[in-house]
Amino acid sequence: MKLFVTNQYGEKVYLNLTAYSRQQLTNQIGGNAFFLGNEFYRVNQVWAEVDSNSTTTGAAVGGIIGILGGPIGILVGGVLGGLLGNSADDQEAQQVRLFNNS
Amino acid sequence: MSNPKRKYDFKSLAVSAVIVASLATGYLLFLQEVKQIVRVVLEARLTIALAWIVPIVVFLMHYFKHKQKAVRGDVIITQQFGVFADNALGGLVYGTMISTAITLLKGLYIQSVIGEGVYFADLGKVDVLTVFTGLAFLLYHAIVKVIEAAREAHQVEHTEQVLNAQKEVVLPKDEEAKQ
Repeated sequence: MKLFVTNQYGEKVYLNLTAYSRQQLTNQIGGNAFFLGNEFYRVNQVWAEVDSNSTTTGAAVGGIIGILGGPIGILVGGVLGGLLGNSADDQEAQQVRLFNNS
Repeated sequence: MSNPKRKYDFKSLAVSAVIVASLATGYLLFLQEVKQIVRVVLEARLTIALAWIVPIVVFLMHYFKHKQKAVRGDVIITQQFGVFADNALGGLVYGTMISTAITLLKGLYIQSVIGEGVYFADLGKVDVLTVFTGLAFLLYHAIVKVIEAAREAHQVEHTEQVLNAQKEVVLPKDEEAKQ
C-alpha cells in the first residue's frame, strides 16, 4: 500500500511512511501537518492506493516453475500462484479501503 | 487509483490467464524444444550464479534505499544482529534457497522428464512428486520474496521524505506499522 498526496501541479507525491489509518499517520508524524520537500500538507490530504499486482506476478512465477511439470504443471502452478497472489492483493485492497475511510 | 471495493481485479486475472495459457500453448507446440531449453537453463552455471547474485544485489539495494530515505523495512530473517546483517542474510538465505531448489529440481527433471541418469534412485513416483511439489513451492516463495524486495526498493526510491511541522525527519515506528 502506498500513501500519497496530490501536489499543486496535480501530480501524486508518495510518502516514505506507511500507516493503516490517518490517526496512526498523525501519531507517527506527531501532528496533523507535515512537509514534503518545501510543500506543506495536512494528514487529511493523504490517500492510499494499492501498489502491487501480486496476482499477475504469482501466476507468472507459478506458471514458469510449472513448466518443469509439463502443461498440467503450468496450469496448476499458474492457478495456484495466481490464487496466492490474489489473496495478497485482496488483503492490500482492504487496507487501502480502511485507510481511505479513516 | 484502483477501486478497492471491487472484489476481483479482472484485469489482473485476465493478464494472468493469458500468461498461463501462452506458456501452456507454447509448451504443447514446441514440446521437444522447450524440454531442451529447460534442461540447458537448469544445467547452466549462469543460472546458479544469477540465483546467488540477484537476491544478494536486490537485498543490498533494499537496505541502502531504506537507509537513504530513513525508512525502516520489515524484518527479513532477524534483526538481532542489526538491519544490515538482516538484509545481507536475506540475500544469502534466498540465494541459497533458489540455487538449492534449482539444483534438486534439475535432478528430478532430468530423471523423470528427460529420462536420463538416476539422481534419486530410491524414490518412488509418489516420493518424486512430493519432493517436486515441495521444491517448486520453495522456489516460488523465494522468487516472489526477491521480487517483493526489489519492488519495495524501487518504491522507496520514488517517495518523498516526510518532515514534521518543525521540519524534522519523521521516522516510522515499527511497532505501530506492524499493528
